Amino acid sequence: KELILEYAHVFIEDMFHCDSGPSPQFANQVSLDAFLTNIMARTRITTSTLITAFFYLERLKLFHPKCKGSPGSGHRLFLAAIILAAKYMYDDTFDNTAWATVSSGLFDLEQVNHMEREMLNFLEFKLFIRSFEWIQFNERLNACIRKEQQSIITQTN
Amino acid sequence: MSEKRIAVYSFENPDTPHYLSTTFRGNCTAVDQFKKLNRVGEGTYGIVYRAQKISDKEEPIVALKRIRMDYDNEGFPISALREISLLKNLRHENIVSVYDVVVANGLDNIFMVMEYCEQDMAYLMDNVMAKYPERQYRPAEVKCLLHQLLKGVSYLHDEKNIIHSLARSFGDPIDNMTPRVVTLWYRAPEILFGASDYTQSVDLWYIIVNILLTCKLLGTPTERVWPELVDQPLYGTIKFPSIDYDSIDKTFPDSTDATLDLLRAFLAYRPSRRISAREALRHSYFTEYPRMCNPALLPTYPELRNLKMVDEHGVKKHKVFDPKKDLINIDEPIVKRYDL
Repeated sequence: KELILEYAHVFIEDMFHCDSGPSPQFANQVSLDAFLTNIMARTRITTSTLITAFFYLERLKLFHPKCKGSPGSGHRLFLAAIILAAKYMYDDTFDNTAWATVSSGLFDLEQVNHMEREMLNFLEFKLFIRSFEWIQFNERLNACIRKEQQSIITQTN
Repeated sequence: MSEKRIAVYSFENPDTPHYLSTTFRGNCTAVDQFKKLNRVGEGTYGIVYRAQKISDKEEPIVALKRIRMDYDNEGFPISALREISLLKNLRHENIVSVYDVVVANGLDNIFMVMEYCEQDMAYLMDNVMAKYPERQYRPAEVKCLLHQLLKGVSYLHDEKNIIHSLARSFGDPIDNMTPRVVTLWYRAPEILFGASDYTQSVDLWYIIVNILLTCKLLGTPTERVWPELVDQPLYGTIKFPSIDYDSIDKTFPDSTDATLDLLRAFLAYRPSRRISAREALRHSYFTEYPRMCNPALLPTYPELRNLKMVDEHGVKKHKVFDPKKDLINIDEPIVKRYDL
């Protein structure tokens, strides 16, 4: 399991303050970590697509600073972002039916279509990433991972 | 009867899907703020209207391009997604601008609000040039048009790192790219041979092949003109007729040496030898006699797409071009033309 994937749910939870644990409404909901891992394993989407999805989530937060998640919303945020990242990066990629299929049974096609369009609206259709933005984002991401690793080491000691 | 409603799963409050009326439009403007004046065309993924914002003030004419959304399984169409996000990031006088994205009927119908262009080249060629050869563009005007096209492409390549025929941008994080891109006819030879490390040079090929659509012209690619040919993934799987020499000069016997030189530079088989947009802009083809004309001096044509006529059976059809009535500035040289 790649390092970045291991910490993926932490970024989303930190950024949007949404708890990955099962929410009262969805008692049997899969955790964000399991949801992410399942999608990455079944679609074999590359790491750079995953990082692009995180970039879009950070941009969403930048455009709408007050936007805050609640228990369970991390799944939607991630799925909508990874769909847009895959469509922007690949000429030949999964359709939304496929994305609904790999969503651990949480969402149907109509919901997936809707969250995709909603995300596009909130991002104002700005999916372009400048190369300096990409470099800076990767540095921040690496710093985040190092910090997480440090805190785990501190906890275990 | 219940009103059509849309379930919204907001990111801010995702667990309680609430319902909005069909007038919901998120951050977007509603399309009913525009009045449609007429339909100007239909592309692969949508109808284009000539439209104007409803207002007390004088508003500019815009083009409204409706994005066809009938592929529910696909979700938001990839081509439209890229077109909008790329065009929103571009600003150049030779590239059409996207001003906004507007919606109607919830988020179901999406329109791009774009800069309105009076003519499209295909329509002009089919309806005017083809029927009235004497109205065809003169060499100085062709040069002017090609120069503008290359300026737009040079902006995409050199400032924005975008390959036009793929509608895709290049950043650092590129994985191997798929060779299954671009309408077959326009594909550059390295893509036909299955390369996944192609660069912006594919666009220069595309621009010209778009005009010529023939390869008999060039002779068979060989290692002499393209040393990396044998390294291409599909090398050997395609059988070509063996033609030793290109026949560019025989095909275009009336062209000047500079014209043929630029043409050969665009159609170099070896990608690294193909001329770039930036280099092409400085080619002597544009400055030799007849020199390219100033864009302001290009002939204008009536906006045939906007003129509707009713024939004897009461059927509406597009107005037909009439060279006697419809031409404004070709026979009366109000302004001095460079090539006269």
